[in-house]
Formats: sequence, structure tokens, C-alpha cells
Amino acid sequence: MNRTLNGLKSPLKRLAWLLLALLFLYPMLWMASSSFKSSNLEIFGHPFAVPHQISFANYQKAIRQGNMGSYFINSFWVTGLSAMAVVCLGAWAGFALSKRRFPLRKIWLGLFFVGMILPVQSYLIPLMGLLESLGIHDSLWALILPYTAQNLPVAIILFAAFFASLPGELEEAAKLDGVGTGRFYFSILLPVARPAVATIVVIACLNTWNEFLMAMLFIVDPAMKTLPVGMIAFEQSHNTDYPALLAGLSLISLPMLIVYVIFNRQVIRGVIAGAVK
Amino acid sequence: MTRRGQILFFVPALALFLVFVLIPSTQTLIDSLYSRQGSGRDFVGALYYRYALTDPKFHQSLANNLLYMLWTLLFEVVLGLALAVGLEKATRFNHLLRVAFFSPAVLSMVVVGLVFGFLFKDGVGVLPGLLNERCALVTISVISGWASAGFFMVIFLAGLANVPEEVLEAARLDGAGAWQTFWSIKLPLLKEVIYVSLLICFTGAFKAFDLFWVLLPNQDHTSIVSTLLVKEVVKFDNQGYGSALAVILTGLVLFTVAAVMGAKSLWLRRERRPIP
Repeated sequence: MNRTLNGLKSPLKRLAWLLLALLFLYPMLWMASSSFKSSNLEIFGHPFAVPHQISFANYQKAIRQGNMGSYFINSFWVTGLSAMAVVCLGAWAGFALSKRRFPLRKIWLGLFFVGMILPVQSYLIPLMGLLESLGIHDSLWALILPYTAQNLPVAIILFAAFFASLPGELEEAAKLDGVGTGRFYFSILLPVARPAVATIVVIACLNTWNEFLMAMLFIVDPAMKTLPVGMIAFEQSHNTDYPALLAGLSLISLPMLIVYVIFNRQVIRGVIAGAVK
Repeated sequence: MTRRGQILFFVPALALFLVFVLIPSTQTLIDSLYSRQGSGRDFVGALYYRYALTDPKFHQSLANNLLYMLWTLLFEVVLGLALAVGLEKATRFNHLLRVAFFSPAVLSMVVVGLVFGFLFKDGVGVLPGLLNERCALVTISVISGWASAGFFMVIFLAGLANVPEEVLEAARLDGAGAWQTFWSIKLPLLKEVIYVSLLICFTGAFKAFDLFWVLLPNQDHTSIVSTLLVKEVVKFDNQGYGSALAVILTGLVLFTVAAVMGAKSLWLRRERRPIP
């Protein structure tokens, strides 16, 4: 009796989990399936039905009328350049701070720890004026520089911990072999640090690709908008064309979902390191 | 490496951090003490802070922040823990489910807000009424939970992976059930991860902005401190009050971090005390 119950329990349990997972995936599936529907009437008349036919007309409309291409390119440059800067500058500073005898080391680490905790809102308002007086407001630099500065503290603290955990003999041996500091750093240290670099890239990309508040406040020029802000603009100008809108939303979600599914392990490791640091 | 080389490596990052984070943060603090009129500005001291004490909009926003914090504790952290415990075994089936539960976490909150906005919009929406005055905050918390529970699941799974197999084996031999093992073995061993989760959840509740702004941009009943301060600056050009609200928000975040870390060290000290 007990055995049969247990034998039944396991498939039932699996079914329950599967249903729960479907419930979690459902909003995304709804977004994707509605993006293929032909009209608002089809979306709201039969919200839970599958589309009559698969057509990519809505996607064409979203790309052409919604400026998706230009938003995408802007997001790409902002995320790419800022992630690169975070890795380079963060690794340099982390390397310097991993040296026990670096002047005021504890104070700098404490400062970056505070910087890691500070919410965006604490420096948001003066940044608007600062970017204007630097003459870079309404350009991609108005996002690249703040995003870089925002993600540097995590990067520096993670890199400092990583480099400090490496054996000191590595540098001693390189010095004895007559390898200069620059070459030691670029051809020995950075390759060793690949896992740390991957972690930082994940953290920086996730934080910047989806950033909305600063992008909304710092960018007015439609040609300079990134995807999240561009989506809002598209919503405001096309707020009656739901299929096109949902096509746009599906389109901007796709890259991150694909990256996540392909680089699952790195993403998860990055998320954990970023959380626990 | 020479001292000079080290400093050369260090300076670019420090400069960017100072110019774009630390100095503006200090500037916010200073700006909150001044009233700006046209091109001039007057020192007004704590005027804006005293105003916040009597501003019903600020009271409502702060109350919403605190309620949202409690709801997300349930829908993000507790749900994430439940998912992690349920999917702990590293089977292929569980792995697929983990991917499903985490995937909303990579979406932009703007996308999340717009999609749920369509679903819940009065008039045209599929499930209208969920964003009305009475239940909007709970609805937003549930949406946050949908988007972030997978994130907390991942953190808890990492913590569960560190629970030593021998301890679980010993518990099994002693005849402990699943529920008992969870309460008296896994949960205490997850302490470190629980503190981190609380830290992220509580500070996240104050930092939240996107979802509230996208879903209900002009409603007072779902105003939180971060949306209120953006409104004050952008819509009413009230930089002084906006800055004061930003300082209050920053103070709340720093206080939360200190409180959680303080509670943690207090708890650890109590545990280390030898039994008399």
C-alpha cells in the first residue's frame, strides 16, 4: 500500500512542479504568442488562444517604426564599452589593492564597499548637472561613464580578493625571470583571472543592459536612447498597437534569454558572486 | 611592482568612482540644504527635512516602501527558498525547472512592467482590476516575486550545495523526516545565505523604481520614495526637496545594511558563547 502510494506520489509531484514552472513561463509565452497575432481584437478577444497564423509583420513594424535597430545598437555600445572599462579598470585597481602594502589600502576598500551599497538615487540628481557641464549629456558617454563608475566597486573588491588569493611566488618568479610588471600583468595575471573576468562581465552586463532610471533621466535625444527607454517611447507613440508593441518587447528580451540559456553556468556563477561578494 | 606602478594602476578607477559616484553623493547632501530659485540659491538648513516630516505624500511613500519590503520578503525570499529546497537534487528534470524559474530574472523590469500592464489594465486588460487602489501594492509585489524568486533560488541553491553530505546522511540514519531535516539542519546551516538574501531583499525594496514607474506612473497610492523624488525633481523642478528625499533614501539603505549586519554579528556572538 505504502509502496504504491509512493510510486504515485513521485509522478504527481513532478506534474505539480511542471505546472508551477509553466505558470512562471506563462507571461513570457503570452508575450511571444501575442506578438504574432494580427490585431488588438485577436489579443483581447481571445487572450489565451494561440495565434491564427505566424506572421512576422509585427516584428517588421516594431523594427521600422519603433527604431528598435538604433536602440539596440545604442544598448550594445553602452553595455559593451562599459563592461570592458569595468573589467580593465577594475582589474588594475583590484591588482593594486591586492598588495598588502598599498598606501591606505583599508580605507580605499572601505570606500568601495560603501560605494557598492549606495543606491543610484544618492548620486542621481547632481549627475544630471555634472553631465551637462562636462558637455556629454545626451550622448552615449552620459551613460557609459556613470555605469562604469557604478559597477567599479564590485569589480574592484572581487578582483582584489581574487588576486590576493593567488600565491605571491607567481610575481616573485616572474621578477626573477626578468618579466616586467606590464608584461607580467597582461600575459600571466589576466589569463589566470579568466573566471573572475567572466563573473564581472556577467554582473556588469546584467546591470547595464536593463538599466532604466539613469537612461530615462540623462537621455532626451531619441537617437541616443537605449532599449528600455526606447521601449517606453515606443509604447507612448503606439499605445494602441499591442501586437507591434509585444513584438518589440519580445525582441528586446530575446538576447538576454539566449545569453542566459547558452552561458547558464557563467551567469549563475556571476549572480552568486555578485550577491555574496 | 613598484609603488608608482601600483598607484598608476589604481588612479583611473578611483578617479571615475570619485567623479561619478562619491562627489555627486556629497553634492546631493549639500543640495538638500539649499533652495534654488532661478540662478541663485538660498541656504535653508533642514527646511526640506522638516517638510518631509509633515508631507503626507512622503508618509504614504515610506509606508508603501515598508509594506513592499514585507511582501517581497514573502514572494521573493521565502518563495525562492522553497523553490531551492524543492529542486535541490541535481537531476536533469530539476535543472530544467531551475532554468525556467530563473529566466524571468534576466528580463528588463520595463518589459515586465509593460507586459503585466497590458494583462492587468482596466478596460482592455485580460485580468482587470488587479491594479486598483486596494490591491495594487500586493500585485506589484507578486510581479516582483515572479521576476526575482529565481534569483533568490539560485543563491539558496549555492548555500544548500555547501551543506555537508555526511550531516544529511547522519540525520537520515537517525530517522529524521524531510521537514525535520529542513528545520533543524539545513536552515541553520544556511544562516550566512539568509543574511545575504535579507540584505538584498530589504535594500532592494528601497531601491525599487522601474516596476512602480512603468506600471502606475501617476498614482499616489503606489508612490514610493524613489518615484516621489524623481517626480519632485523632474516634474516640479524641486531639486532641494528631491535631494533631501534622496538623502533620506540613502540613509534608510545604509541603516538597513548596518542593522542586518549588526543582527548577524550579535547572533554569531551569542552562538559562540560557551554553554554554562
